[in-house]
Amino acid sequence: MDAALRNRTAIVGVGYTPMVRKSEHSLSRVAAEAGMHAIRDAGLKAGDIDGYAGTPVAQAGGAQHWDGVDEISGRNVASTLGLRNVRWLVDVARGVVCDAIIESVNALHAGLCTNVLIVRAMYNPVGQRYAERSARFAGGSEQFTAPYGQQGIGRMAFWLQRYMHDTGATKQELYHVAKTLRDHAQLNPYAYWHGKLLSEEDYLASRPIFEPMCVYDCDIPITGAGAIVLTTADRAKHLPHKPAYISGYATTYEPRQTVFDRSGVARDEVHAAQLYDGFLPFIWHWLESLGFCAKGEAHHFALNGNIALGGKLPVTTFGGSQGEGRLHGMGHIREAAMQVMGRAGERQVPNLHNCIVSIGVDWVPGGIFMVSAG
Amino acid sequence: MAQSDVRTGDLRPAPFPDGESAPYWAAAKAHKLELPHCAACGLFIFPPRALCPTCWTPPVWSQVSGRGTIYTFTIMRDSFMKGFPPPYVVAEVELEEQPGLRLVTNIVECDVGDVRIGMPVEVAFEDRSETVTVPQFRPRA
Repeated sequence: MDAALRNRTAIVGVGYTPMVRKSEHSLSRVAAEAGMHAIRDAGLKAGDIDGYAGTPVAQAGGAQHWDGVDEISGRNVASTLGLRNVRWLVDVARGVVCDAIIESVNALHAGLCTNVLIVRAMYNPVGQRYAERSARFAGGSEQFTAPYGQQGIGRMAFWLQRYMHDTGATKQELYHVAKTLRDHAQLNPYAYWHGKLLSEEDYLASRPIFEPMCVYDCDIPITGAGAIVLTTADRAKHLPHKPAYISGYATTYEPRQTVFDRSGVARDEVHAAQLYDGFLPFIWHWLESLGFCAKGEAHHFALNGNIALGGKLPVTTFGGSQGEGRLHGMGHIREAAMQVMGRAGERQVPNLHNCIVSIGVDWVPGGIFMVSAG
Repeated sequence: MAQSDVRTGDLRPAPFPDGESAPYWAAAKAHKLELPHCAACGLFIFPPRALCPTCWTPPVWSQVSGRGTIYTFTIMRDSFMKGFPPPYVVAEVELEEQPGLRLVTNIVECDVGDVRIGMPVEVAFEDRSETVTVPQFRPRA
């Protein structure tokens, strides 16, 4: 049962746009541009795309939810790009890009379509800060948090404060993670922080937000988009790039072992990890929860270049959301595909066969993927 | 409940009670901390759920001591939400009734620099308007 979807689908094209802080372009244009690049990269044409999956919902605090402006529906992308042959289309209402990829794997395997375009586009609102919000009422689970001024980043600060208390981890150690990601971003021409290094002094002196979280523990809100094309294994063999197979997936609700069981890939067969870094301490969290080091040990494991390119387990080799910009995981899956395809250039991990991707974290909907050379 | 608080100028979001949570806010209004409790297996359930997850018995509301310790906390130095001038503390308090039974709260009647993990705290009720009262926690001896 676990092996049912193993290597049945593959990423065959990737597309992205430059990451800018604020853009005068509509999100409709940004999303279409990434989609266009991904389709061309796969050696396909608009008419070849018969599936589409997206995660359109804007998550900025003051989001207006205007299609094409601050969020982007599948219908909008399909009509802009003239995808006339789409016969399977889903817009996943919640979470990050994971469920859109999982749905696509399932739909391709079920034979509902043959070439799926997956787009994630992010809009950083003009004239206000991304996380800024105001509401008269708080309902659902927020009724117990928002009346106290708690937000998503506060949840991360809770985790970090307790982790530092329990393990003795320090912000100096967390700087090593920040530095690694910023260094990797120097090898990614699309990265927002390309050309700008991060010193320990600047990191430790940076503006506190939710202590112990500082501004450099948060990814950077951008306007930009990423896209991939996913197809079936038999079709992938006839396309220009070496296929990057999806060997396994799991949602963050499922046990951590699931992705290893489904993919048949053992931890010591994983050659790089694109770990989610929407907030920097996620890297420590993922290293432990995926079993790459013992509980409470990640702050040590991530020292001495172990998670840098050339180290024991290269982590988030494109610079992540910290270095490249906040694409809510689309950058991570794209990088895994490029590493497996052997197209990561200066960032290429030699002899890479399997790359794991984690997106989101335990307490928000997310997913884990194993991307493999087959 | 919770009509607009335009009159008081309070910009903090007011809790919006639902089918599962209404007794919590009604109790807070009466300055009592009550949580859903499974009479069959003794488990407190928070955030409120319709059923006890171990035995599927619908929980009943039961008053708790209001005593606990700070499990973790953060000091907000920036301001993203209207009505919350920084700095302020948001904490997770673990109640003495049950390991892992935690509530999010501000820590009041305490300098932000004095808050520590493990600090003993007790509930203190904050009346924000005629209709809204929220449980808060303050240090206890």
